[in-house]
Order: sequence, then C-alpha cells, then structure tokens
Amino acid sequence: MNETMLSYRVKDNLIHSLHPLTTLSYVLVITILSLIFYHPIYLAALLLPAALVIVSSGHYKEWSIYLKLSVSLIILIAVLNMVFSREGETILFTLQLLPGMAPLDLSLEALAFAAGMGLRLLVIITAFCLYSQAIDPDRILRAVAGLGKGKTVLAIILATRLFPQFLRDYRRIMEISQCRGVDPYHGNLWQRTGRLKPVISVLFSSSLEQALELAESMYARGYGSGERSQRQADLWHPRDFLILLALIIAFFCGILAYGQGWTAFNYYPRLSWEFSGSSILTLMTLSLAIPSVLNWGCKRSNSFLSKI
Amino acid sequence: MQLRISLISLGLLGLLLLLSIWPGRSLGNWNWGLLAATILTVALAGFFWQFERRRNSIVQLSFIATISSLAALSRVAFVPIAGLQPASFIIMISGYVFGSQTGFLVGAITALVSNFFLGQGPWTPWQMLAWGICGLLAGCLGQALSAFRLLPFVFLCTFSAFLFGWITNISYWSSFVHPLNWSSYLGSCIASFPFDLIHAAGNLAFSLLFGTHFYQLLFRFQRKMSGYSK
Repeated sequence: MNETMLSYRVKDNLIHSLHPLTTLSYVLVITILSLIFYHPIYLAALLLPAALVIVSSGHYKEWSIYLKLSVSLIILIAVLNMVFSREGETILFTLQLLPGMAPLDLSLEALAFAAGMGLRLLVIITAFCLYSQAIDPDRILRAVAGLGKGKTVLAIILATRLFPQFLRDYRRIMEISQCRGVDPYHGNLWQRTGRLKPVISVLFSSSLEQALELAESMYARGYGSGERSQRQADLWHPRDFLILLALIIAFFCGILAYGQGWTAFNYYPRLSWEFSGSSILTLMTLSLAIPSVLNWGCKRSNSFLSKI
Repeated sequence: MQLRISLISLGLLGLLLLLSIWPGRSLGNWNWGLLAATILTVALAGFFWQFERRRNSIVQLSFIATISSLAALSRVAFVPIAGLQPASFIIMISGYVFGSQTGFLVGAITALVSNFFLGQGPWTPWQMLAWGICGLLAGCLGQALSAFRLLPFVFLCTFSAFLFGWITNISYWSSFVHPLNWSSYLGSCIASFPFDLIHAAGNLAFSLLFGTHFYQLLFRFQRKMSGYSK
C-alpha cells in the first residue's frame, strides 16, 4: 500500500510499537469517559494526558490540523446551544434577529454549556486523531480478523489495498485519454464532464473485471476451502499489559467519579459548580499519562523499549 | 432479515429520540450521546454479524471490496468540494442492483475505508450507518421495481443526500447540544443544509449522467457473477 496516502504514518516510538488493540482501548476509554463527563475540570483531565500521548508520539502537526478543523464544529455547537437553550437565568444580552420575531435571549449558562461541550469535542477529536495517526489500519484489521468468519474484515482489507491500485489505474486511463487528444482537464464544465465520462466508465468496468480476477486468485489460493488459518502478527508485550492495567484503573476512577456525581456540572438554570474527588481525578490523569511517560523513558534510554 | 434489523435499529433510534423530547422529559437526563453511540454500534455490529453468517461467494466478497474501494476513491477525489459525494451514487447503484445487504455493506465499508485516507473521527460510525442506510434503501427500491427506472432512482438518490445529512447530524447534536428537542435538531439540519444541498445536487447529476450506464454495467456483471459457483 502507498503509505503516503494513508493518514497513518509509521514512527519509531513506543506508542507506535504498542499492540493495536492497546491503542484502540486507550481511544475507547478516553471517548467513553468524555461522553459521561460534564465537568470541565474532568474533561480537561482527559484532554491533558491524551494531548501528551499525541505530542510525545510525534503527531503534534497532525493534531493541530484536527484542532483547526474542529473549530468550525465548536462554533456551530456554540451557536446551536445559545440560540435554542431557554433554560439559562443569567441573560447576557437580547438579540432581535428579525422584526416581528420573538427576541432571542443569550444566557451565560448556554455559553458555559457550549464551552464545556467544545472541550468534550476537543477530547474526542484528540482521541480519534491518535487512532488515525498511531494505529496502522492493516494491523488493527488483522487484530480483529478473528471476529466471526472474518469476511467483513477481509472485505475492508481488500478495499483498502485496492484503493491505490484504482488510483494508479485512473491516472493511466487519463494519460491514455490525453494521448488520444481528449483532455478532460480543459474546456468548460460541460465539455470536461463529457470527456471525463468515458474515463470513469472505463475505470469502472475495468475495476469490475479486476474483481473477478481477484476472486479467481483467492479461489486458487484456497479461500473458502476450509477453516480459515490465522497468523498472529502482533505480539503482546509487557508495555501493553502495563498500559491496559493503567486504562482499567483510569476507567474505574472515571466510573467511580461519575457514580459519586463528581463529574456532573450544573449549567442550568443558573451556573453553579463545585469540585470534588481531586485524588481520584489525579489518579485517573496519571494513569492515562502512562503511555507518554513510557515513551519519554524510551527516548531517554535506548534499551528501555527492549526491556518492556 | 437484514431489512428487519435495520428497521428495528432505526425504530429504536427514533423511539429514543421521541422519548428524549417527550413532555415531562422523564428520560431527559439520560446521556443521549453515549446511548446513541451504543445503539449505533449495536446496529452496525448486527449488520456485519448477518453478513458473517450468510453464505457469500468469493466473487460477492471481492465485488463488495472493489466497489467500496471505487466509492472511497471517488469520495477522496472530490473532497476539495465540501459536500459533493459521488460515493453516495456508487453505493446506491450497487445497492439497487445487488440488493439491500450488499448496498448496506458497500456504504459502511466505503465510509470506513475512505476515512483511513481522510482521517477517522467520531463521525466515522455515523457515516457508516448513513451510507449503509442509503445503500439499503436503494436495494429496497431495486427489489420493488422489476426493471431499472431512472426517475425513481434519481429521486431516491437526491433524497438520500438529505437523509445522509440528517443522520450524521445526530452525531454532534446528541452529544453536544442542549436541549435535545425538535427545534435544536432542526437548527442542526439548517446548519448543514448548504452541504446537503451540494450533496443532493451532486447525486442528481451523477445519477442522471451515469445512472443507466452504471446500472447496465453492474447488471451484466451480476449475470457474469452468477456463472461462478463459489
């Protein structure tokens, strides 16, 4: 596969050497906890270790792109909350959007809720950025290939593998078309569409032919002739178990804090808040920061990675 | 069976949305973001489980992979024009010819595979479900009509663009907006309307331009496929 096309990039660090299911578990724990937390301090306590893991794994640049993209969504969330929420008691200002329409009260509570949800979005975006950048699609698909008969996973793997090939085919067909004097890049929109139509048709029909060839090739290699054999490509290391243990601790800390009501935050009708469970919060944050600490240790000592 | 699962999933989602905005809102304090994500995961898992259980030939499997890859490629190619999604048309014409299950799978796999290149996010499972449902609806239409009729297909393709937007809007509406009621949901749909409109215009154009031709290609391929026993 042409790796430059995937959003995943290979990097030489501990985060990338983890078992894909370990990294996936990390992403899931962060996402689930962020969905049950409303308190901004608790949400920030999830964002901080996740950001540390991203930065320590060398994906700051990609993360910043994700953050820039999420700004528009945060603005949308803020607008929707401020426009449609009528429960806030502290009115900041009143807007008369259109004459004849009821005035719109914009409350401090709605603004605070929007800020809190913006923070939640940042946590989730950060977690998924880690998923995109640090988990090799091939490795994660291989890791879950054992589920069921593996047909779904096989279809996904094949589709991912065929993608660069079809792109090459498209370029080849375009070149041939241009050599014949039909250039789909020139002319007005209608002309370009007319010239592009045969290119797309050829690509489509040749791809279908390739699907048949692929099926024949799979049949010749014995696919479907018996029970599927499976190769365990990714090994579990002590570092995986260490991080999984830390994730279990973090998850239970989060659930405990949620059960005690510490993660709740009174946005409506009047903004009021209190903060409890600092020791649980600290334990959760530290547990979630374990991967970045281990990664830092690997950067400091070359032999550390081989030991864990 | 797969149609029943999809209807049950959609019904459950709809029921939960209704409960969340019911007067008195006894369930108003539920965590709808988490609940919606859970139902979504169960619905997707249910479809994939059905596919795993069914006896599929190798040709069917390679066809699903091929067409999903093509749809993903078309999506990535048109990504600079926000909202324009040729993938929808490819998913739906595949569903129309090969049935609801294939349509759903092509839709779900297209979303997942294209996001390997564009970047995964919390939107991925919602796009998988939304495109899956588009493919499934096209499959239902294909089963309902004895021969290919361009106009109903074009209409469904255009409408599905809005449906796609309405489903994917739930992803952020259920998790980040308060209160969860029809007004705020309508607000999220109004916000996405320009993109949905471009999506719909694209679907209309692609289905008018390529609909009949792609149907013929896929129909011939289906007949060719039936010649393969395994």
